[in-house]
Amino acid sequence: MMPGTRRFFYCLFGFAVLVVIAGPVVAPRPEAAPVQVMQGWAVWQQRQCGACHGLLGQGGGFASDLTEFAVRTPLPEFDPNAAHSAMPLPASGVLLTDAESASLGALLFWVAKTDIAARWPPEPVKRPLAATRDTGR
Amino acid sequence: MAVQEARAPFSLLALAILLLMLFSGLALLSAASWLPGSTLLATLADRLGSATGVALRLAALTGLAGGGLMVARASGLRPARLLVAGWASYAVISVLATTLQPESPIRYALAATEAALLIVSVIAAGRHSWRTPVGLVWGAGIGLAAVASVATLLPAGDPLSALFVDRVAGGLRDWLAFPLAAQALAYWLAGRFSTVGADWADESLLTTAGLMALAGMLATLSRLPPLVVTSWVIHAANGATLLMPLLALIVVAHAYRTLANRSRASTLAAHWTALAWLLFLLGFGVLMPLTGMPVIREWAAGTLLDQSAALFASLFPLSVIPGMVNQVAAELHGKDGRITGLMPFWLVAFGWLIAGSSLAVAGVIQIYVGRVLGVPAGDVLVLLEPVFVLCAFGWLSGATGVLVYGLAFWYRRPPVSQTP
Repeated sequence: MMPGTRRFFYCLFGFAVLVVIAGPVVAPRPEAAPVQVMQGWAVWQQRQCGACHGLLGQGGGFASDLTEFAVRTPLPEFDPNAAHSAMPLPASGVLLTDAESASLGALLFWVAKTDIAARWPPEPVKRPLAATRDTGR
Repeated sequence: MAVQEARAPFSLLALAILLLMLFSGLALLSAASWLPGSTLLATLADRLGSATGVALRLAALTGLAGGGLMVARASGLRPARLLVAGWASYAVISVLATTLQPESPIRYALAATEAALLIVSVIAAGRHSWRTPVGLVWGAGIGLAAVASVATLLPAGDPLSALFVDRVAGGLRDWLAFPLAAQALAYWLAGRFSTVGADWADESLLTTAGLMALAGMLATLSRLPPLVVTSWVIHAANGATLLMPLLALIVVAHAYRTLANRSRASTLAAHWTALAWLLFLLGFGVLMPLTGMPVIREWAAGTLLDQSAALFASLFPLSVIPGMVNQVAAELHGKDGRITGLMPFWLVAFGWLIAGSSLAVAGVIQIYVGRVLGVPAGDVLVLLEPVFVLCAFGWLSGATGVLVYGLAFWYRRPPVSQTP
């Protein structure tokens, strides 16, 4: 075996691990979130909202991404139980309490105010299909 | 291979087959929960999805640890037996813990236990095994998996950091650690089913493992936007689009040589390893670079296309394990022959490829109909029902294959339990 092959592996492996681990160190960190936002985050995890919904482009895949939800829906009108009335609410069908709904609302409001939410998700094209056909494009 | 010597690691491999059966069953139920009319399962969709992920991770961890200990000839003495008992207890408690709240203290204890078990596995393999290329790459992979387990324990002061830590730890484990350990075992198997020279195989393993580490790094970084938009992360994510297919092609070209020069071995280790490398090519060489492209990334993030790329990458280490079990069981029997037959292999291969591909198709539909045209997510789900049926069919085929594999393995298991 060529002596350089082992060094080749060490170098690439070490470089890859260092770069990945360096990510959390150099990433810009937002200020610590308010207590109610962290409570909302706990509800998000406990009720496994992320199993269906995405947040900031992470997880989900089945239901809508909720990054900009608070932009479209005023906080006082936020009612996850009503939003799920047409389909079974996950977490074994147990409804959220008022306190849990409020915490979740605080989380979504906080997320919608982050810098990332200003850039993501992209706006839908929303070009009317009929107009496309009319112009022949 | 002495039978008594193999007792402890073989028990881990047998446990991995059990966990593989559990994963396949849960994946089928999870897919079925999205079918029209499955009201009862739909209420459990979130729990099933979470349990499927846990079972996949446990099966991969257990199989890779057992395979490495088998290669290292870790003895059947007390420490190895304690390790098996620890693994078995940990696996059972982890599966049961999926019913608990994610923030429950037992979850932290489990992550710490996982890290400890992985470190003990590397130590149990012995210092002499680290000097061989297979032992070195396997040890690096398992050691890194332990680091990833510890990383999940890091506290986060805000949801953004929590998502970020979760993404980095997941990338370290699923796209760096597991593929490295799996590649080491695949090359150990190649030494049995291929006629390539030992020196070439050693060099090829170290080269491909280095490139796989680079690919895993790029895969992890390409999944950080939009969560992180630091310029170097964006540049690395953009570079991943070009580099990852190239790295994957080099790895698979090396792998092809081992498959093209087959020995007279009759076990199905080559078949399972070929499937593993195909899944690696699809995950790391096609779907991950595709969804990481700057113009596609912002539309594909958090869709089922994203999930299909991760699924193919996760199934790569998983498909090495049945090949390992086949080879080891045949050697412990002292004869060269098939243990589990071709039927389970084809059922699993087609099932997993269909399930993963249908998820990718569903993701493309989500992007165009949901994200580009702005159709509400609920309406898109209705459109996706035929694709979900195809996905469930794929998991059904996979689960049937794994079940047949498990039964055939149990029927023809080597007599390790009868040894003193």
